[in-house]
Amino acid sequence: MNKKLIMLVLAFVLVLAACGGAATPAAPAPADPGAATAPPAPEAGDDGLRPVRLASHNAVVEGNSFRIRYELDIQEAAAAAADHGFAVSYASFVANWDAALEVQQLQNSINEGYDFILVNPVSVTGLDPVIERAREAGILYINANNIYISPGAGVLNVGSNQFEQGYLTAREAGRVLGPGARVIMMAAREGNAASELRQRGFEAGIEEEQLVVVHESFHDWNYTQATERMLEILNAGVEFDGILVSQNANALIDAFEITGTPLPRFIGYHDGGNFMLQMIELNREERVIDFMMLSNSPGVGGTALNIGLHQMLGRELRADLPYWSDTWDDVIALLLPNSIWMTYDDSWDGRSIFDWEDEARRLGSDVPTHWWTFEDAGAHFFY
Amino acid sequence: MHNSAVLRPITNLFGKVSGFANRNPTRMAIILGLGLYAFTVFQVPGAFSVQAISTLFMMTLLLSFASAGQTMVLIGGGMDFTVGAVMSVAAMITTSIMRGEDGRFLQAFAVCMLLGAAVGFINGVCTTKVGLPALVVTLAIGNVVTRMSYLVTAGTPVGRVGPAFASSVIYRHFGFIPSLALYALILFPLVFYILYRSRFGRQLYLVGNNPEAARLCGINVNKIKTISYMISGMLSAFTGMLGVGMLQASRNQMFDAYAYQSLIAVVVGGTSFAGGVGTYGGTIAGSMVMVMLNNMLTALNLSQRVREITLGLVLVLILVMYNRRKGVRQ
Repeated sequence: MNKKLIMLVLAFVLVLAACGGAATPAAPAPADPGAATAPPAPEAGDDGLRPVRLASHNAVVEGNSFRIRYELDIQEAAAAAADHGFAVSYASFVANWDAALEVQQLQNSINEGYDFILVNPVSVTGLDPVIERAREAGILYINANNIYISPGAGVLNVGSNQFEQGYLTAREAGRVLGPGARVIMMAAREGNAASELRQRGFEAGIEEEQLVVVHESFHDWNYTQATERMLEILNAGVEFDGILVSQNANALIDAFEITGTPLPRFIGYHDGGNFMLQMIELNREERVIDFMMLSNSPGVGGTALNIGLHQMLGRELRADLPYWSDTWDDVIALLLPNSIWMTYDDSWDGRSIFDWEDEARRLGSDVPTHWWTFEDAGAHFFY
Repeated sequence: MHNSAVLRPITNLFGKVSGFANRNPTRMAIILGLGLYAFTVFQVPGAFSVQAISTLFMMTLLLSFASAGQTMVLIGGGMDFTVGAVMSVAAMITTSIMRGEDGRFLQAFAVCMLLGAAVGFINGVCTTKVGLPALVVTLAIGNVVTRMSYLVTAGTPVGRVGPAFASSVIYRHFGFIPSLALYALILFPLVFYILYRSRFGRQLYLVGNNPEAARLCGINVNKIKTISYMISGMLSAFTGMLGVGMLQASRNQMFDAYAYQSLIAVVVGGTSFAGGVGTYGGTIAGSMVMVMLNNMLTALNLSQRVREITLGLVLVLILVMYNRRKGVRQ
């Protein structure tokens, strides 16, 4: 009897475990719960608002401060859309880096008749059939943040200018360190479009500034892995003057603290409030370390939503925007400028780094964000 | 014919090294670890520094703490893949309870020990009562523990460890002896006592060697195995606390890799998958091998993917070499 009971409990545990990577319903609640159950309708309802059912698909959310903020920004943009005649209901799906599960979730969203599917994909290819099905079903499909590079997919990508992030960081390193300086290059994740674009930017800046890369590594956007990689580099006795890192710079600073190793002259970049605070504290008494803080703004999802709403009104995107077309053929990628940045000497709003202390404490591991409003998106991106 | 003439010296050498490794696993692991470090320094002289040695020492200690419970579980004939998950959750509990205040250390310690014991108890009951393979059960339970941590923290664990606790882990006495070594002065004798001096330790070896014989001797096999999982859970939880003391802030799944690393360190240290054989001294030496191997591959400046492939291949080679021991007669 006991054995049977235990077997039942164990079976339950195993089922729970198997569900570890399964669809996670939206952690955040829909922006408009009343509209969440409304059937899709092309015309305005009795309340004068046009109902739009939005499905936001994410590779990962939990444990990733960028993705959490990304989803919250979409919710804020969805709520703000009410001022412009839309009742946007919102549901979020998370694939936990499982490409097969992502396809299944997307198929479900198409079957359930969502009006608008916004995808931050697991992989940069492999979704063509799903995109085609969405198109046939008359569903607006926009890919946000991680650019989908499958040739001929014909899908609109909305992303931050990742190339610029790498490029600006390497240029700042060159300005601080001078030609011939030795740098560590720690990338984010191999095979990820955002990471690859950043690396192109880093490489362009490194070449222009004549920096010498003495060690290459990557951290998979994992804080612990970033710290461990840096510990290994320090233990291995690699000599360098500065560090170029595709986010997670704060984790590398922690490695210096753990080992008691003197800091390098430059590190960049990261975008969290915790990194800003680290730089404030390290440089409080005297200039100890130069840095680059750049916000890879999570608001890109909110911006993509507003661009999609304009498209639903039948408006046409301008042709003279900074699209990414010379890297991958047939990829339509609208790259948003990086409007939030900071170095030791300057920042986007002209304030000193030390004036940011309270804000940095409030942010913690969160990042400064910015999304284009419905009006701004309409004015800048559409005819 | 020609091929076999060429291969014979290689297989003979492998056989001799393998034989030595199986007869003297701890000594072999120490030689291997020091050899790897010597090779690293030979290739990259900058790797020989007080700071580097101190940090390598610290990382070896942390892995050896994480592997202590795994050693006991393997000696008892089981396997524990919840080590990493328990460490990660204990780290999150520690920061969320302490919130930067050292006065809350005991609270955090108590909750972490309860968590470790509870997970170990579930592992033990599920493997002994149901009889499913320990690998499957502990992987599944580890996954449940991880998912529950996401449920509770929504993916964003909060808080930091207290400054005195952090200092008790990362401060370097005389500039190079990490404070973590002070914890080793308590943990190492405790583990050695449990394994070699206590009644439980002797029974554990017998259970791992031959559970049927142990049962006939009047030993409650299930109880001994379950206790070994509970000790493993508590030691993992404590190591998670020390780990977050080093990194100071927690993340979900931050120590997951320790599940595999601890298992390999234990096996490299001479503990048999078949159970009943193994020493904690060997595990400490095995931990050193793991840390030195990672360090060498980084120092050689290979690309990260090549490093990971090389690490995997070298570990397979080592495990093949170490697992030529004949099984104990049942």
